Amino acid sequence: MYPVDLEKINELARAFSGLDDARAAHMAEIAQRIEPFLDDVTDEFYRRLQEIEPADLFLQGRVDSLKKTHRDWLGKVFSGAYDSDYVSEMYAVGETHVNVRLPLEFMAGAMTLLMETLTPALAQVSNDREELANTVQSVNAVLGFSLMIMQESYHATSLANELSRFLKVTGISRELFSNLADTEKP
Amino acid sequence: MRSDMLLSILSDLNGSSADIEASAVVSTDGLMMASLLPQSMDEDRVAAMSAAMLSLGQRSSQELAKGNLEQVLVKGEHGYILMTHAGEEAVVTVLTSERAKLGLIFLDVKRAAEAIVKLV
Repeated sequence: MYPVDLEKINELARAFSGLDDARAAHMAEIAQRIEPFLDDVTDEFYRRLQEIEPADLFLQGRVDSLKKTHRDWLGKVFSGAYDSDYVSEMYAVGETHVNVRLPLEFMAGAMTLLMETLTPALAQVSNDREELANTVQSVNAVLGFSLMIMQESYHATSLANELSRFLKVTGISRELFSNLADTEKP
Repeated sequence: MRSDMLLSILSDLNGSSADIEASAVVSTDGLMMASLLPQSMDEDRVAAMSAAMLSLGQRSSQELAKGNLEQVLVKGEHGYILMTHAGEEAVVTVLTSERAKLGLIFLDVKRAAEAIVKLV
């Protein structure tokens, strides 16, 4: 219904997540070292997800295709490039999650589980404690950044879908809805 | 010009019965076209609410197999609110006292709506 300002969402998500150029550069720097671990990380992530019964309901019959999508995305997480294409892609993921009726809390839960699953690999590719700390902070920043975009999209898409259903049931046009809402401006 | 003519129709309508307290013509997207309302009433809100009520009434009438909507009547403690279409683009809203003889008012409002259709 309303135009999406991806640039604004990008800026806000960067501000909250702490994703800056140095952390993006660090992600790109460790990309080659972490790459050999990512297939196993994806397998372990889905193994753990399937142990959570409410989450498993959303996975049944499509684990293989979801694993492929997830593995491709993990490659982008460590690409160091978090440009408008990346933001658009994360926004689309939020919309998809609404369309498959995935509960909102599952996104944050999955990100927490992913960090948990990634951590042993991060430890293995880090040369010392200082680098490990830097790596963990950078990965946290990218995952937080991604989660914020998905949540913003989820929220906006949920509201838009709800409004569409309301308008359909009541027969109220978007113009009339807008005029009605304008009478209650603060 | 059109606004003056709409006001003239509303004025005649209000004068047709002592129980008609106020009236208005609004667009189906909820914007005021002409009104003779008490100053204390928010014109924008009356317009948007009238159009919304009529829209919901139309949908309800169809959903409950009562055909096309003719009017929406709201009875409050202090009187009635009557809303009816004036063609495809406009809605006539009339406020009456609680003593109003609705049969006569329905006829007057129908006549006014027919006159409004020719203007909008």
